[in-house]
Amino acid sequence: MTSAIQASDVTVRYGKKTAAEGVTLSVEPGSVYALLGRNGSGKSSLVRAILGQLPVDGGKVELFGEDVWRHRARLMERIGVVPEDADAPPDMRVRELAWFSSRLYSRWNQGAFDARVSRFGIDRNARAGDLSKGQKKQVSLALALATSPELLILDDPTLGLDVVAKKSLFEEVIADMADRGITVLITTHDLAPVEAIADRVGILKNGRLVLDEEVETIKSRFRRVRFASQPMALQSANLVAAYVRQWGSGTEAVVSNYDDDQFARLRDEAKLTAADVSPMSLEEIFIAVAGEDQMGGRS
Amino acid sequence: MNTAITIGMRELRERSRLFVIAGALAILPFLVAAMPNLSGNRRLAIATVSGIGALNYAFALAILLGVSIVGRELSEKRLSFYFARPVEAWAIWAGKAGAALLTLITVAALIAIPGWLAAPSQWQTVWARDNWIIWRASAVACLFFFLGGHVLGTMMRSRSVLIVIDFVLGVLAAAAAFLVIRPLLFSGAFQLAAGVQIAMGTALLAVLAIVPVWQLSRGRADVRRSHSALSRALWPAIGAIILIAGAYSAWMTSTTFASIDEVQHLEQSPSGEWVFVTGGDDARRNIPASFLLHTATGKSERLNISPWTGVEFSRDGRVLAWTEPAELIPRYGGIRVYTRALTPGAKSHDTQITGSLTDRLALSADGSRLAMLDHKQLRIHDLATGRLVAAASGIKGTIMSLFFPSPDVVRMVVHPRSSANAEIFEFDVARKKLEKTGEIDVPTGFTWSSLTASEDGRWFYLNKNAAVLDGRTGAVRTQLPIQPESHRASVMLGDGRIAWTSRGVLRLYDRSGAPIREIRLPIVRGSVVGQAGTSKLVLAGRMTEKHEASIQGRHMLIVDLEKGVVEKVVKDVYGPAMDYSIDPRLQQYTADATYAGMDANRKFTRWK
Repeated sequence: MTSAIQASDVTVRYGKKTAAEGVTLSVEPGSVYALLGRNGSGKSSLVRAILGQLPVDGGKVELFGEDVWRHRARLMERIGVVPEDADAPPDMRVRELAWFSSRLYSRWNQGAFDARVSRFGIDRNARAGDLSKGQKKQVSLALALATSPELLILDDPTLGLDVVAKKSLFEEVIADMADRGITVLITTHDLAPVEAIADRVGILKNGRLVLDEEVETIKSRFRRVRFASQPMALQSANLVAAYVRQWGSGTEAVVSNYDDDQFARLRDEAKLTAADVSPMSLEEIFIAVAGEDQMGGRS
Repeated sequence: MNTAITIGMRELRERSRLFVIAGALAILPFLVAAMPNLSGNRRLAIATVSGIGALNYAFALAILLGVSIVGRELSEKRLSFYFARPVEAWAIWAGKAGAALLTLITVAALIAIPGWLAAPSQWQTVWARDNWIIWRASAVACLFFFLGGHVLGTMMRSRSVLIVIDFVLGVLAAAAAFLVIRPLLFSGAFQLAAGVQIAMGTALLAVLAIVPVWQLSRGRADVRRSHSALSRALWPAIGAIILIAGAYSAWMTSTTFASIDEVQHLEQSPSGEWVFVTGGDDARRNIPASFLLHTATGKSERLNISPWTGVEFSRDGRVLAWTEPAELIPRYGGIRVYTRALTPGAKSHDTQITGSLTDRLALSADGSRLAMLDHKQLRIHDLATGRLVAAASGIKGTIMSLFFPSPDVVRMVVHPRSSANAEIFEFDVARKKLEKTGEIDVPTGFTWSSLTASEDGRWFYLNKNAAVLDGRTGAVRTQLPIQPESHRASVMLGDGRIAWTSRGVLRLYDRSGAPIREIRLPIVRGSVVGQAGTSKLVLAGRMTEKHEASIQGRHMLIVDLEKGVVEKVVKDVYGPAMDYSIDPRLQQYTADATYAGMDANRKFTRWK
């Protein structure tokens, strides 16, 4: 089956600065892909390349099997986009935005748009420039979903939103996914809700995709371990540490290839008197993988 | 197309305030006309103010819209609004540009139409002249402002180092465009130059209208990439325009002596060995091109002389002098004097002497000195070195005559605007002394060509009064029973004798007015072109009294004054041309000269 998104060895540069390098990822139809990364990791550049708004300096991006750079306009008919920063003309009223979109999309659903805007409690006569940040995101989402997209791309949709707004936004997305089974690519820092809906996660670090796996697989192989010994013990047990911290004579580590048997062997061979293993949330894994530079750890 | 229209409609909605402002401005002419202290025609005031308001508002908006139409959204990162939707790049540009142009037309109409309706005839008088030229030119200007504004807006907003490259390329393109036009201007092909400029401008407009599509298509929502895409499309396109125009201009000005289809002007050295020819090539719209031809070898070389000027052959036939434009921009201005020794293989010599196109020039008989006279100063230069030998000021008026009677003396006849008399000046080059030596009573209709002189300048002949004058004082020495009919129908010969052609007869007088002889001519109407040796005259004439531009029916004659016979008649030929230089002495040819002329088809020919 053709992937909804297929990025192959994608490199994006701004002059001498490389925003993304050799990124290869695939988003299957009907799945939810969470692209994670710290600020400046290259997420937005990659999303813009995926949307055909930015030319790639290397590699290729295909949406539904078609080159997005060449067929962007046609492909956008099938894609709904919630941009990181609201880009609607500030003078346009909410109803004008809907009117504008209705003339561009053949599958425009005015009823769905009106219903969502009502649910969000947004005045249809309000100008885009007068809306709060959260309302802008909500309008963007309403516009994107009203086009009945096959692929929904959410670029940091919860950035700057309060808890209630975040919740309502994800509820809309989840509801639509449930209704129509759309494919979703989401970049976000807000990992808790994503953990609930994402099938697959990619982590970008300094422009490189350092992790790209099913959520369940990631969660099963990442563990936080603590034991009263030196970190070398991990190596002897063939456990790979994504993050290591020493405290006194003890070690705390995030192991990226956790296996119960191997850890039991480690405990036996190192004669560990105190050893603790705990599962990790997606957010903890993300911090361990993408944030160790600032945490003093090493992979 | 629907997408473009949708975008256009969106843009128009956004600009609704501009239409309100235009509506408010439409009231302004009526307020001005209602001012109590306004003197004059109030309807005229309405018509004038409404037109000025409409045009100026449109100009200002054209610039503002151009700068902001895409550039603002690019810099504010809002162009992704369009690119995240099923919208082609061309539709974005077409919608936005179309809406902007419609806005400009609408606001101009909103301001202008009430004034027009209120004062239709005054409006017609003020604004509808020459087929609405003001409005048509303003429409083109608005297009340039809008499209140029977009280009500049995109460049400036990117804040990229590309701006420096754009600036350099812009300057180079402007210089190159000027260099394309310059040869046409210097060739005097002003209409063609205007045509090429219009063609280049139209092509530039087309490029400016099209490259934003490329810009949006390749650069999309990123401001720097957009700038880069714009520059990459713009400069090669402008380069192509300049190249094509340059090739055309170069071809149009590449007339060779061999390709001349129509001779326009001819001058020759005394022996006819060297001929200066200006002519045009039919395929190149007869743009004047000037050449110096060495008749013995048939070799010609192009002279880039100033438009509408000729050359000066020294009377000894050894030196040629001419002027070339000295300024980058051709205008009523700077010239530089060049000379060339009239020997085969000699090179042109830049004398470094500069002046103005309005300066009058005269060469000394041996070609060693040049006199330049403008409305302020007389300057004498040594041609070999370009050195200023002497100068004098205080000569004011229309210059009627300027020549070297001898290498150290310059004689001038100048007609002050406020005076009935022309003044004779003599400048002693060695002593650097300027002296007014006499005056000439100027008759009505007096022109500089009415005055001819003996070879040594001792005598003037004023053919309007048919009087022989003293060359220094201007005192009338004798009156002759001559009624001049045309330019150079009567002239003073080198030795002071007077020749007069009239109704098929050439009459010869000595300078005291005594008739010497009459010679019957095979022409009705004639002019003296020059003197060949001491005893022969070269005449140009025609068989009818009617003046015709055609060379068919024109004859060239050699008349032997001593023998009293017409020695030679050459039919359907004209040339050498009559001398219109500021030197009052008759053109002197050698006795055995071969002459250069143009045949009935205006082709170059020689006769003897």
